[in-house]
Amino acid sequence: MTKPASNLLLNPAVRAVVIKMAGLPFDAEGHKTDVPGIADCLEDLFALLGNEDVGEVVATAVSNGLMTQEQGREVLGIAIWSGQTNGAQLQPTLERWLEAADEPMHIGLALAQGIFPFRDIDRMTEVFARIIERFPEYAATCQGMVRRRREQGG
Amino acid sequence: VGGVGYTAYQAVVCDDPYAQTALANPGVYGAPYIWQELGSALLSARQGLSTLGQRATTSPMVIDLFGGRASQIAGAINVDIAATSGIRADVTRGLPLASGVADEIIATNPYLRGVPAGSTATNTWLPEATRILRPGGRIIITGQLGRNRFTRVPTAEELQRLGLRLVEEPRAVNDPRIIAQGMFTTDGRPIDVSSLQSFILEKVR
Repeated sequence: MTKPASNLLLNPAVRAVVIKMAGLPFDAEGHKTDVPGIADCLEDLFALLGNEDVGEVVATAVSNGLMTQEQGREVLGIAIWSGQTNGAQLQPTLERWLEAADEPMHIGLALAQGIFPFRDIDRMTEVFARIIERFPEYAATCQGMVRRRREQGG
Repeated sequence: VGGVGYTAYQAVVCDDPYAQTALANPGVYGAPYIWQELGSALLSARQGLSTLGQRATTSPMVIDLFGGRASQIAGAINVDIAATSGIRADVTRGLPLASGVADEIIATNPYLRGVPAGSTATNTWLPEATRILRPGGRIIITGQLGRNRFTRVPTAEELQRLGLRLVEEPRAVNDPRIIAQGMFTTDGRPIDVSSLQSFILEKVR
């Protein structure tokens, strides 16, 4: 069972990697972001954690002010294209956040990955409906994702 | 070992489906791994050459690099480490294709596992892609450019060293061949095409 992220960030080695990663060049548009540097930090983090689910670690780093929300969003995006699983170990955490629909920061991180969550568009639509009801600020993002996924064939 | 070598011969040269099945199922027939790997590589190369032979009278030659199990681009030759159709090969270890044979290479969502620190497109797959490209040929690279290290736009120095030039800056994907593909992560989750950008490189020497 994965240890709670707050405990993981108390691990000096994990915390050091997160701080190093947060200090690398970054811009919200991605043009100047040190993608290879962040990817290398993520590989170190995967090794320390023993898996590629860095969702809770990154979310806690954002909550604690070690990273901005924009950095957290991009770090999770880079994690999907690093490691061995192409994000397969991270996606369940992102989908759990969306299903819970109780923490706007989590929802913002999960919706910004460029990957449609849930294997089934009907499930995604159902979960998004609950998010829109609770957090109308995400309505445009959720509705756009449903529309584009339909256009792409579901 | 001799028996497995003969099996490889039967599979590759004699087109024996039973021998091909044996090579395609590592462990089942008890053959040493290295022979299975060699046989599989030979089979993939032969399938690729067969594909090339079928294309001999047509042009241009388009390579769908990282095309997955099978290319979704009409007329393109799939090249992927997991290919079941086209050429199964690891681009970081060299492709079984002659230099300068490809007119165009389409690389969509490149993803490599187990790479060393500091890996980018420039020091993993791009040199081999450039080798098989003809002078004047183009490489269309598509991905989440700000997130995927294997789609990073090379620097001017890197481009010069590789003999490439940037002919189209990163922009929203507008090539219908790429848009029409179903794009998925390795575990099958669909990728939002609106999150992707493309840029184009050209071989200058």
